[in-house]
Amino acid sequence: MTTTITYDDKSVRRFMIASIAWGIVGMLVGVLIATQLSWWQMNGHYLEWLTGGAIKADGISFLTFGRLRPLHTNAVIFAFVGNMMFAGIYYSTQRLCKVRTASDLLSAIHFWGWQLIIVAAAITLPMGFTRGKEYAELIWPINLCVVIIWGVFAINFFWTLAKRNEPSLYVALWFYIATIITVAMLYIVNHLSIPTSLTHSYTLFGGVQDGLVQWWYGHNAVAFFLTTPILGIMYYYVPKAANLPVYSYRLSIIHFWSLVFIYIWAGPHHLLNTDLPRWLQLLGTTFSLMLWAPSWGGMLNGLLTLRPAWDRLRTDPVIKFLATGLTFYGMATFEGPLMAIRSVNAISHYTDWTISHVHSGTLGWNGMMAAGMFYYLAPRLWKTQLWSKALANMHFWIAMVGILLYIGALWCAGITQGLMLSQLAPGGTTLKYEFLETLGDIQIFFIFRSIGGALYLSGFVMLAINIWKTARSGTPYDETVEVTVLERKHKDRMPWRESLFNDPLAHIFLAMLFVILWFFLPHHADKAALLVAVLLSIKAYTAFKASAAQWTNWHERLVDNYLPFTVLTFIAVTIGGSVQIIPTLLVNRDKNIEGRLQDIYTPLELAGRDIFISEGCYLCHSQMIRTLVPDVMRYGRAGITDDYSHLGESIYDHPYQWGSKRTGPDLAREGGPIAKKDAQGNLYKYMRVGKRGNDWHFNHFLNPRAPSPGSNMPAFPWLFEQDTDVKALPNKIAVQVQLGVPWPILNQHEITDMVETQAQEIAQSLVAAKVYLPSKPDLQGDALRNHLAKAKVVAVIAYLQKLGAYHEVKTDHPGEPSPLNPDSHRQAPDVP
Amino acid sequence: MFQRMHVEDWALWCPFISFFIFAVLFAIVSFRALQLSTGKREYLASLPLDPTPETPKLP
Repeated sequence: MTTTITYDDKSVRRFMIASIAWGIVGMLVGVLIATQLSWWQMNGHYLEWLTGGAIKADGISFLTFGRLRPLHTNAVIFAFVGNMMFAGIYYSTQRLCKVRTASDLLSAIHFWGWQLIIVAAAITLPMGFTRGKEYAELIWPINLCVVIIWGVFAINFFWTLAKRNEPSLYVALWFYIATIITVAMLYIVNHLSIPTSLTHSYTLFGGVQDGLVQWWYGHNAVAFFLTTPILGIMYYYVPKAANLPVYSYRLSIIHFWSLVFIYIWAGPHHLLNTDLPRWLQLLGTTFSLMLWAPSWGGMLNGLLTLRPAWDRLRTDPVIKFLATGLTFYGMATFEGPLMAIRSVNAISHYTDWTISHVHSGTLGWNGMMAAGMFYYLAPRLWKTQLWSKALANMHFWIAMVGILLYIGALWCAGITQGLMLSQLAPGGTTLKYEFLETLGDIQIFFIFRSIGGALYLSGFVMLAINIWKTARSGTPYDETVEVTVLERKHKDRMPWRESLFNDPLAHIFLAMLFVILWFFLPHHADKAALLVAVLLSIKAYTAFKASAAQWTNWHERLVDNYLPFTVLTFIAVTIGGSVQIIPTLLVNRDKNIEGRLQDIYTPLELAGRDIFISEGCYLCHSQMIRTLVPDVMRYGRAGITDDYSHLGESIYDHPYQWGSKRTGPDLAREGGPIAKKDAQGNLYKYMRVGKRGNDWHFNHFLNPRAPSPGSNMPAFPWLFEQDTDVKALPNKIAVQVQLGVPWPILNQHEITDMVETQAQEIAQSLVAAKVYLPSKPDLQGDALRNHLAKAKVVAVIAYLQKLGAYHEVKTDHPGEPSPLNPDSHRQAPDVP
Repeated sequence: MFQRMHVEDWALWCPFISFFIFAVLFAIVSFRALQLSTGKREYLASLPLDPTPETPKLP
């Protein structure tokens, strides 16, 4: 029986237009923040600049780098690539399933819901409402909306699969399935928080555990939001554009299962050379290197599909963009594993080399594939010809020059800075370069980066014009086709037992388990385990021979059954996270802190910390002295050789603040002990003094270039005018207690008193140091002290002076004997 | 090889066990991929393309 169906291409058009619009916004913000790294005035001093000083403006709070960088990342990942992904998925899924999308209503909810989320992000992020975790900054009400809308998308997609008229799931659909279920898992777990108010929450995890969860999420946001859906799009649009079948369908099977299994494990490569347990770092490095293989498998599959049509690279802009996108994918997935090697990472981490790598992937892979897909879709969605091939070609070359300038400049910046920061002075006992010296030396590369980014954006604007003109020259068209209706009995009929409990496979897994036990069990028991493993292997072989036909075409039948396929994909992606994250939650707490336990913040310091996070300071300043000699020499305390950041020093930080980029120096040891009040040695009650005095920080926030010439940090004049939110503190402390931070029991009055006492101590020290507040020049003495005591700047100073505060914790009890390690109680205690 | 392995920290074995599990899974998946019949392979590879008289049919 045949029927005529009309595909829902209206949703595809909507998502495509939204992607292009948000892409321009996201890239524009990207170019702006790139210029801010070269010219601090771009943090909102434009009016002053443009009018030659006629209009005075000390900076605009919602235009600083710290507030805009999250807007840029969220806009380009979730708005630009997100909408592009949805356009590509809705178009290709309907045609691969030979059915219209299951629900027009769900498609509309999905589209409008997603755009509203982006608008909410665009408003809240510049206002400083943030969770303080990269690519997961959106506040909790927006997180809930994301989960709901993603659920709507998932229902719509799987419902379409259930209604399909094509029995077999093409490989592109596998990648879409993996994307939908894995992003849901990652997003929900990493966004687990307890709210303190409508616009603020604390993460469930803290310290090293939060770091692991964050980068399990962060790396796999790259994997399952920026890679797998685009690979699915690649597997559809490259054959369609070339009118050739994929080069090797067998390779696509190996590619898919290897990629979705391995990718999840790569998260710890963002935490190399920190105090993360070595086994976790080794896991991240090994699996990152292994990831090279399936990534290149996919790249080669795509490029070799184009081999018979290689001559069209010259004439067809679609093929040009798609082939280049695949090439950049290969390049980025070669560079990434190399950067996951500890010795390479020692140079690259915290430098612009990481930024270069990210942008070779986003501009090269995502951007080029998006452009190729849009140029393919536009003529078909509006039933016309592409308005200008010449403009598309110009876009291509400008984008290429832009990308190469961008990534080349940041390769140079990253490697230069990494090497400079590691270099020892003659004599070998001190470092050669100050941090600010390295920043000055890489400024030229920052300028080239901005130019490269601007070129890429201008190319994208050409795409927007081309697509708009194409749409204007045609009329919106929803394709109509005649299809053969597929009866239910021809699809989704595989029993669960057959799909999940395949006999030979079950025996192989059991055999593996006994081989593992063979390594660990005591004498005689280990031989028994080996014997069982051998017997199970024989059983697996005989089961395979008995059911050879049924076993060998198991995968052929699996791809006709979308639910078992989805469950198996889910199992594949959960294994990696479980192995990495669960042990750190279960491991002995003593091992997690390594002899140092973080001192709890005072209420004022907690308030200051939340301001630090809200202003995005963690985006430029790390708090992690790595287990590397140059790091310890530069940021550790003199005379203490193992003064890298131990895990226990940040165990109560919700969210963790290790950071991922050093545009400014590390702050892990910025603070110090409680300050002495007088010559008799009496101490202040709360006020601390660290590397620099309170007045230094005061002047630094007012004008960073005064104490640090050459700094590109923006000024923060509003911190001197806005009051610290003391009323929110009781609720925040209550939530922290719920999360396991051992705060003492404090009532509201005690909290207020502590805040007032500490704030007055700091404010008094500032007045004594004769600080000058330009916005209120008449304030002196007590009036100035009282004004400053309420201001946010004092809270942030309090926080900064606390950084690095911990106390030693001795563990002198021997380990208990365990079944896996019976000799443990005889071993010597761990030596740091 | 028949002596019990001494370990200081059980977690240190995680990378090796993980790699071993992956290697076995990879071998199984590769074997399954190689077992894919030619007819089904050609049919699946042609799914995105516009149908023509030469398009392989479902075996």
